[in-house]
Amino acid sequence: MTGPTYTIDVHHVTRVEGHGNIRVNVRNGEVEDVRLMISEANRFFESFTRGMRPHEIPWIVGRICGICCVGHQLAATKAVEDAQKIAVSDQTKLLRKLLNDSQFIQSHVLHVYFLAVPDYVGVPSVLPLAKTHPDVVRRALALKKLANDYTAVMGGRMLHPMANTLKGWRKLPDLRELEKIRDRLVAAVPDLQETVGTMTSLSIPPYERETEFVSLKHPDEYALYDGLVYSSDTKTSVPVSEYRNVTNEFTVAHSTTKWSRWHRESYAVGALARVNNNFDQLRPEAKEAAEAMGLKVPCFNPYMNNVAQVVETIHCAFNSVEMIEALLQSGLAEEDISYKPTAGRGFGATEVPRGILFHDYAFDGTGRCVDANAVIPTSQNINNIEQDMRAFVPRMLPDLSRDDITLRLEMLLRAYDPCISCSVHMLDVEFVD
Amino acid sequence: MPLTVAGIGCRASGDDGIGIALVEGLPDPGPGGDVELVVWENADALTLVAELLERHGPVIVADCSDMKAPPGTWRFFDTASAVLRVSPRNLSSHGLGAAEALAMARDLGFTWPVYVFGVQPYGVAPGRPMTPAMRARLPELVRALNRTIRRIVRRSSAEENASCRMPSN
Repeated sequence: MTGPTYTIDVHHVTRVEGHGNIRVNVRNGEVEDVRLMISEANRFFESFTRGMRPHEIPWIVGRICGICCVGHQLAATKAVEDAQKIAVSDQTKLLRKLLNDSQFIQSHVLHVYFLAVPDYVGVPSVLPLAKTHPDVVRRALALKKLANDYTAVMGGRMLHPMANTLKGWRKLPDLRELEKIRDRLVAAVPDLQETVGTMTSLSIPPYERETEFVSLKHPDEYALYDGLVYSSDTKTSVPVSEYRNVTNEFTVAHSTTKWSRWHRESYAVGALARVNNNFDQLRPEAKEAAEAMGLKVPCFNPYMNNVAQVVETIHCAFNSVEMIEALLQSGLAEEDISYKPTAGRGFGATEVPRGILFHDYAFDGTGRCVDANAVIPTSQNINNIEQDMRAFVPRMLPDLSRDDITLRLEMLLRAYDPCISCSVHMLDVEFVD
Repeated sequence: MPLTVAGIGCRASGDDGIGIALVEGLPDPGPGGDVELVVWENADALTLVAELLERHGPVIVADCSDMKAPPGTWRFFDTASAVLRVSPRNLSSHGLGAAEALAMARDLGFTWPVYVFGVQPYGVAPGRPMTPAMRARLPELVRALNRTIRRIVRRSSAEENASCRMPSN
């Protein structure tokens, strides 16, 4: 047999959070092996929480990630409240949804514009992008600043907000500041429309692989804060407390991140999974944007995750405006956030920008944490990303050069918006000669 | 064109919060004056760029800086006369620092002077307050920054007046 023999070895993939490598072996024109190798060391956050009191945990585990700090805090808060049998008010749920939306806008804008778009316009990073496409970068910066300020108003500060706690809010948001955020979100609509225009102009790689999508699902809303765990394979949901039967974590030799699988060899979580599973519950403006960008469900092209992120950004912006207006009308009331620590085990899940996030805590009779577990989106996605690579590389091989295949694989990984640091593990691409 | 004096850093990381402490220690210039004091605490590089682009005048950034100088000493310099190393590689959001932020702001049309009032730390460590040695130095550093601000304001005013007196063609 004739054909090229080479190794692609990307050691580490850049513009992702954390470190991971891609290795592809091609021998005589045939793909011999494809691996997504994660080499980051374990971080032991679950161990940190042992011995802690219930209300301390959400603030500590939020430090797992600087991008998803809100999501980790919310998932942990819900899990601890479940364990402590604490019920929360509608006001608190609304505040948490707003805080979560602010994080989605911030994270999606950051990823789409600053980490993904450079690939599509042929520049190595956002720095040259500022020279070649200053208007695009200015728009991205303005949207990101808006989202940061939104988080700060809701949570007290833009990074690792501290206002949310068990049962409610330690310091309620200033309604006048929230009104300004509402006005700025409305004023940002043209920038969001321009974002759709930018995405429409990009040439998305055409590769597809039929995939199981897993996300939260809620009967009344596009599920970002709450819901049951839904699979696109079975069209059914299971309670969050059964998350271990969803993730079925296992280890592989070439990854320090645990892998996951549910009804087949792998599954995907994240923006594309959510849009696929809950498209009907998106805001009309978000549905229109999806159509304008060519996203039709079911969509099995993982590169379209970036498009789904823009769809969700628009959904969150319009959803936030509506929720803020409701809050401005109802006003805010101080709530009793005292509680008595007790024994118990609880589970919490929220959607974070990269996918569904599970937290699980157990407490002894003194209210001290005795066991903890967190399963983050990237560790659920890593297996699926490698399966995508295994399916796509043979299709790429006849038409693309080694360098182009490398770029497409890096783009694929980036499309998932992985947070390898969170997953405790990430990517470099390596072609083996 | 007011002068912005921005304190940056993290007050929960030992002396990394010196820039913030300096700005908070300055006398309140009041609204509508020639100086505006701001704190950009825990600001990432992209936030720094966004903040710079909203300014319409020179900026002094007060920050903890490793200048290989004795701890507690301060230096004031114009970024135009300093070599700020910008990473050429594909950057994640973790890879962007102040140098990249300034380079990006320049590319996006921010042309006003950016000065740094840098202070060499005694110690930087997560979860720690400012070192006692730096706390003891703080009043003197605040006075030095205040004198520097007055000097820059006078110079900017003089340049503005000279510009106004220039005959037009």
